[in-house]
Amino acid sequence: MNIQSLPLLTIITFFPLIGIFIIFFISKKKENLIKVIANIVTALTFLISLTLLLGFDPQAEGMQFVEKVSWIPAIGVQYFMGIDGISLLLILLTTLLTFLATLSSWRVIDHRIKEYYIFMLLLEIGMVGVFTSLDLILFYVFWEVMLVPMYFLIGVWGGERKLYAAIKFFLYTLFGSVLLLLGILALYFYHHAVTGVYTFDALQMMAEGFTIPPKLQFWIFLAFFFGFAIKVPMFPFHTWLPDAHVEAPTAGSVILAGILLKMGTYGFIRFSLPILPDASRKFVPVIVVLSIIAIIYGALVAMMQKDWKSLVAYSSISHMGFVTLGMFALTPIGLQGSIIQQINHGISTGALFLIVGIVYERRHTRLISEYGGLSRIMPVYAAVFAIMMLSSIGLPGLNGFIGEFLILVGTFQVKWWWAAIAASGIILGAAYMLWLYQRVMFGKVTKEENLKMKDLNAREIAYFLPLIFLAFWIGLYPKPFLKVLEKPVNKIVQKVNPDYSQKKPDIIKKLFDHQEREGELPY
Amino acid sequence: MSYLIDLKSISSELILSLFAVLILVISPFIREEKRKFITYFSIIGLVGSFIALFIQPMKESLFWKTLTVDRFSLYFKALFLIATFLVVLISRKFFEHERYHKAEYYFFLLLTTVGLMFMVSSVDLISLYVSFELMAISCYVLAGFLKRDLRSNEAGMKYFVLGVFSSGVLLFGFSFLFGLTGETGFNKIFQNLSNKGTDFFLIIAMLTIAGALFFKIAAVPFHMWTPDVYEGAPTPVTAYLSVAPKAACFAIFIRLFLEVLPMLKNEWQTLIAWVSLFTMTYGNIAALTQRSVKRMFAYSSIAHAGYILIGLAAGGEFGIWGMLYYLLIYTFMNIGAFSIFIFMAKKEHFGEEFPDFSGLAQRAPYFSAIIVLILLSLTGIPPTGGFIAKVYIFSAAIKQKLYWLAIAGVLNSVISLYYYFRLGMAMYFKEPPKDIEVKYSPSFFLLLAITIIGLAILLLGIFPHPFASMAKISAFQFLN
Amino acid sequence: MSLYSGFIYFFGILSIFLGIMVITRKNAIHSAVYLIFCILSIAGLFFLLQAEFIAGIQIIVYAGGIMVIYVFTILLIKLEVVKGLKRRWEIKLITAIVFSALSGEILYLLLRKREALLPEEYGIAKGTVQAVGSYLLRDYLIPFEVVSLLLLVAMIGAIMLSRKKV
Repeated sequence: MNIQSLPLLTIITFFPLIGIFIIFFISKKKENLIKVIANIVTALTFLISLTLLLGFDPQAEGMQFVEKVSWIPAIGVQYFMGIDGISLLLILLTTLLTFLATLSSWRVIDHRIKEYYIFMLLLEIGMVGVFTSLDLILFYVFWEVMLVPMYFLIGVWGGERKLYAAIKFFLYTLFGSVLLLLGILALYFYHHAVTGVYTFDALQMMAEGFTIPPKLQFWIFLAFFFGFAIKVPMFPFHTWLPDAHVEAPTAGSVILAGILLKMGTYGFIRFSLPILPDASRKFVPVIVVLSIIAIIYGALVAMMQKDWKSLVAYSSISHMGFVTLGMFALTPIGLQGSIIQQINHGISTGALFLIVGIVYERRHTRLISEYGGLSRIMPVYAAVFAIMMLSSIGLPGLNGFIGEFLILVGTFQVKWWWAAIAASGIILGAAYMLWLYQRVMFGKVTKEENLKMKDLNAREIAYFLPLIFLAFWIGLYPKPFLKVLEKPVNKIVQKVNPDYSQKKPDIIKKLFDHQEREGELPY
Repeated sequence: MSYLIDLKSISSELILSLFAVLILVISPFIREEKRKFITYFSIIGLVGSFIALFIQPMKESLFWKTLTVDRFSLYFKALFLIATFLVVLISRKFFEHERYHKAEYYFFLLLTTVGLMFMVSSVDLISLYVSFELMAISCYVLAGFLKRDLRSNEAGMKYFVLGVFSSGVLLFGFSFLFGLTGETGFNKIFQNLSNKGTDFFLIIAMLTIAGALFFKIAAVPFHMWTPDVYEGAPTPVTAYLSVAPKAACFAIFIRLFLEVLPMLKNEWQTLIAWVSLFTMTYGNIAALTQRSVKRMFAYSSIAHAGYILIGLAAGGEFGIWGMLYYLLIYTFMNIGAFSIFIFMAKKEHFGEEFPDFSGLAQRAPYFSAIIVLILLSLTGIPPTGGFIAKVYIFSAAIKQKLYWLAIAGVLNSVISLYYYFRLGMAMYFKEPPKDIEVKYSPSFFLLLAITIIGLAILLLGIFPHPFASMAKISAFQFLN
Repeated sequence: MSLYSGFIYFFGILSIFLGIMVITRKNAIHSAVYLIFCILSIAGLFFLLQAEFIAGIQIIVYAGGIMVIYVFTILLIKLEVVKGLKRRWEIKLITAIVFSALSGEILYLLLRKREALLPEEYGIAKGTVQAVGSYLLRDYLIPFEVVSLLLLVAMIGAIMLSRKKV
């Protein structure tokens, strides 16, 4: 049977719905049953999403697994799903992280369990939907749908300032989203005015021959920018992030950092760049400056944090700065690096939040000063933490290095000093991470309570293993990942930066060779 | 005898009037404890009338051009019947709780609906005004229906005094139209006016008519009565008032302004665009500061009138049919919103302040889930109907290049999120008060109404196609 | 001067005279009785202008219905209290302004735009009972029927809201 012909994306997206239905009808007293079902459903979703790999052809042009049904014909909205390499990786990351996050909440969440898992599964629907949909309205629907369960996850199971954090998160992102919606509508009407067809089909918007006047592009880009930049979050819009990340329950933080932030960058890559190429080029300086500020600022603030979790949260801002920097270098390598770095960030920051969650579960405090010398009490834990910390820093051999390196190379091609400044962010990153590690892991055990802390149990190790495995895989052999990304990335760059391929053909060739070699070399 | 055939086309109104009068006649013969029967009886009337809508023949001009039965009016009639049906379902629990279950209530409710149905069918100033008054007078009585309750008395009185004034203003505007043309039929007025060109008095007529209708839809600056009346009137009546008469007035706006006064399009578009801006902004900002949930919903319904007016200001296909779609979903959401208070009613005025909702999600999970759905829809977040409706409305504004209005609209939705989710926050994030043991026992009818509302909100959001195309067809005559 | 215009003048002057009598009587009942005759003479004017229907309405509704309510009201209140009231100058001023505005308007129309006061052709035909009847039961049948519902609602509503028993 041909996998491509199955409505696989719909199945993956809506599979958690089955879990929701089952859980809905289970009495809330049967807590274990609810947990088991939620875990099975998320695990199955991940397994089903792996089957995408069987049918996915990295050499194919355009979208794969396409499903297209008319949804609201009155205004030309379609149920249009399809993926390319970029979405493929993000979908796999989403299903994996959701499964791990669900697994990690087995013991942490001790009240209102039924609702928790329902929201978790709802969240998964929204997130996968965002990465699969190619119709702008469909995309927007999933984009918004996902806000609601996240709001509840933060608000019900969050920390002390959960009310504030939840509503701030919701308001901020909704503010961005509604402007995004206006941008989509403006695009829609312009497309109608030119072609006479009412459609929200994103592929038609980026089709050859359909060009938007630069002035209109500018405004639409601005609207999109608000929507996506708040989600990423880029520098001046980042203030919701520390609150939401710190107050959210562990699983919520993992998903926030691991996936939600990627939705913003994914939005840029999928829609802003290819649909609005002229405006994207025009915005490059602005975004690069904001990204560099985010890299440095995020790192500096992270260094000052007393709270372990907010340190990780601020490190996200810094890392996402790298992602947007690489993206707006508008070179194939920068873009590839940017996507790889998104995956990396999902893996390493997700893991770091899980790591914080583990000690928080045992000690109910996140203050760094409360810990110290944990490496002696929890050796396995210390090892896991070390790997993930190094991956976050970008140590060669681990995943973070590949992403950051590609981004810097991509940026360097455009303006060397952008890369130079950004590189200083890496050093700062190493500084705050190593310092954190030193403070909590080494030294004497200063607190009595810490002595009784148990090391990781089997379940906890189970959810770290895939992440560690991935960290090494991407670090040592990134070729399969890069290969999947190659076609879609080239297509986007051709569209957004056509001069690039004309002006420097040999450099491209050279760099691609370089990149191939780099992929093959185990560091 | 041509008009006997015409009677067929208004059979749904006739059925409903018949049932209303029958209720009045038979109710003295029914013992107090069997009054429940009246509820069933009115539901049968409503269902019969609803079925008749689909059977009765459409006809462009009835009874010497005083009425028309076109798709546009049928759409609104169906909407009114649905609204009345839901209100009847939620009414019983309320009035039984208040120990004031009267047959007259259903009589007034059904006749208000008859008035509304005639309103949207009218293509003549006289029949429009008379049916408008039928609706208005029944509404005054309904608002003051709970005689023992001081707030209801106040609401009835306020609504009456201001409402009569607005009716007078409406009539004043109509008299200008008549004075300028010597005609009462819409078609003839239009022909007469389009030969004459614009006139100072025509603008006065437009302004006065718009003013009176702004009053009924509670648009700024004629919104002052809304919070008090909505808070004071019996809750099911509030639900009804905030939905059905508003929808009818929007229908009148569309018909009158697009069929009779298109020559003033520039003037009234500007007027409505600004009124819409102020209405939604005022409604939302005032709702932010409310301590009573009921008043918050009252202000939010002001804000929604503002959103719907965007559709009218923009006009065009997206605008008008967006309005129709919006009004449909608005009917469900707002009746749902006010039915919350019937569910919550325990002791006097309990369930109207935010703290009363603390931890509701743990005590009444199903009901809370539906409230969240309603709140999402009111905010305009997918996958609810409110989202699709807002997409329509905002696209209309963008299509007409009213960018400022669209931006104001979306920013207002963001503001509205804050206060709607103050309620969500109370229900889900706060712990229930330990000291009061509250058991909620919704009646079957209330549960049915809430379930219908929840399903409708989802259906309109996820499979909007059949309804959207219905709205599109119904708005078709205004699209050129 | 034809007989027709003679009657017009007669009723006109009579209604002005009766109007003056209404407002100058000390006894309120007397005023009311004069008012009835005043209304009747205005009805005569309408009749002469071929507005038979309005003339009939004038007699039935005003002279018949509304006057009864007036008389009831007069009988129910204590007239001594009213007698004792001093007339305040503000009220006099307002009365004077309204009076002069209205009479000024009529004078203006009489002197400058006489044609505006003349009944138009269709205006006459619309005033007959037959014309009004066919309007009500043909052209405006539906509004007429809706008015019946409206009156029913108003009546039941008034009874319900004013009934003592809750």
